[in-house]
Amino acid sequence: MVNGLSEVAIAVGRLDRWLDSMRNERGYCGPVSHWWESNLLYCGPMIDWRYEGIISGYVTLFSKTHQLAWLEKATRAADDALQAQLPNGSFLNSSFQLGPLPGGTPHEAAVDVGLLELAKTLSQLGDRRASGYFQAAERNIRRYLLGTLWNGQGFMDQPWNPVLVANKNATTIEALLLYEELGGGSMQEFLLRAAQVVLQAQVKAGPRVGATIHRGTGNHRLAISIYTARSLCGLMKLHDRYPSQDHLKFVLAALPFLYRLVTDSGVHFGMYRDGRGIRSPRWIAGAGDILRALLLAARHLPVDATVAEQLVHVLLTHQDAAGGIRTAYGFAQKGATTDCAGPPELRDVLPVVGWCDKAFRALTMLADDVVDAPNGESRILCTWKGKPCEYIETREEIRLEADRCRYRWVKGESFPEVYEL
Amino acid sequence: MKLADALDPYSFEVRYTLDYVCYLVSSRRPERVGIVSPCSDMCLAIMRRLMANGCHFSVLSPQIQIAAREELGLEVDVQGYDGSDDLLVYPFSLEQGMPVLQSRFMVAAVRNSLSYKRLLHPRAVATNVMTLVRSLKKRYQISIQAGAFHPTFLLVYGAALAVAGFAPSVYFQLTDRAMTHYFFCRGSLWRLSYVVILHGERIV
Repeated sequence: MVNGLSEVAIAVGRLDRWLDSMRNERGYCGPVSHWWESNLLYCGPMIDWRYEGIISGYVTLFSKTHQLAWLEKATRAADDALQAQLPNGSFLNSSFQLGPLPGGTPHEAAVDVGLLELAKTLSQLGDRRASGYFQAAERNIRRYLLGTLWNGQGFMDQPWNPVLVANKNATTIEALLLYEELGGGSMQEFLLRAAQVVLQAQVKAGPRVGATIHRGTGNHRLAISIYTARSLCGLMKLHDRYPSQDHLKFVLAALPFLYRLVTDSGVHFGMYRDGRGIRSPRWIAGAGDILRALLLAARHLPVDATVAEQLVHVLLTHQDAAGGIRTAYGFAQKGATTDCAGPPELRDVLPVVGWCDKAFRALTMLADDVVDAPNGESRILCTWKGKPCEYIETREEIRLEADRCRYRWVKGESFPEVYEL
Repeated sequence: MKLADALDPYSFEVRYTLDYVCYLVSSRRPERVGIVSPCSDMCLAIMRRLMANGCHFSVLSPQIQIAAREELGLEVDVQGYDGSDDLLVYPFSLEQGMPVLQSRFMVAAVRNSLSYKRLLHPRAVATNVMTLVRSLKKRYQISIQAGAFHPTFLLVYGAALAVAGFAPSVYFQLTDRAMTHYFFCRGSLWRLSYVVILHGERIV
């Protein structure tokens, strides 16, 4: 389906090294850029959806290469989650862009996906460690997802926020499918109701036909590319276990919507309620989730291979010298309906573990091998508050230089050493 | 004690403030951090941010000690008021009448009565930060690190809210500008900020 697989193998190898550079003994760290908000202050370990892509990516590499080193990296990541599991089954600091708060959605379900994919692989190998990862995911699923977020109709955004967000339900579907498969008991009731949440959020007509509405955006009713893709992934996985024409129809409608948003330089954020495109920012590392959606859909339906190639191109061409993949382009004009122009902003060029994991997971689905290639030093001209700056990243640190050092984070630390943004 | 709704640790005013407070705490690399607050949610919020640093915490009450154990699996001490903590944090607690205890360093977040909030809720915010700083200066060398929710931020954020219903693109651009450009100020506007973050070093 995709050409240039040796380049993919190199990119995966460099991403692996970059991920290693972002770790400390408690987990993967780093500042966060996101549409909703960014957190450049708290940079310590967080157990959020980054563990979905990291663990799944390493498990995929192991299953393709049979090299135990990849399995050990998957277990090392899963051990971070086990170490950070709280007495109530939640994970410490699971709220990604919101900073160090527990109960992040869909983050906790996403961590469960990673844990259960690893448990499945270990179980197939007869490795006793499988039960520990399964039980950790089970504690989270039983106590938090089913015990707290389930309201009889779907999985709520938060215990105090009853909104049913499609992509979050889709991620939970992926977790429950794995849980059911590994002996957690029938999840059919929850799965089929959560699927209804996803199906009902799809736009049936008009300029946004096929898009998934993010109901958490209130009256704006934004259609967001990445979340449409994640919704699609949940339904495709569900279709494997509980086939339904409704799932296929959803995917058939969602694919053309996604195709329209993919460009050579990233994926448009989404669309406003009136059908105008939100062209700034364009997702880059997170486009890995859209690539994964296409790869999953291709198992059942015809998929436009040129779009998949385009997405691989986007990921590979935005991998910087230090090995990370940029988050986006256009944060300086966030929400604009026109294409952004000019140099990227700090939040654009910043590689974020919780976005790069999506690129990593998707690229590992394509890679048959990994090339161990070294990373170097990134030096990128960018802006912050409209002023020119230089972003510098090495294996040891991330820095933003303007008239003086404006930001310096030593990798692994919980907070930056310099914060003058 | 639970937080008043104005101090919800999930609200962005508290989250951003605590991130900045803990950045200042972290920069001192203390081995022992005392959290001077009667509110368990606030204490846990501070611990979540700093626990990866490996520092030891002390808190005001056995109830908070139990909450740390049950919710975070963390063992903390109950403060002995003996000055053994390297640094004391006051997360919105000086305004609640918490005493200023002995320590080499202090970091505090304080809600300021000389801000727009006083206009909206006259009884909600009673701390005159200028008076507080004058009082603290008898024992600490105080430096104001940042103000949050100052007039420029409010103008831009207010403009965003005003257009949210009919111009979403402008709304998102303006809110982003408010949050990235104007949330924290380090100039003299701190005097009119809703939240003031200050750092003190004990005068020897």
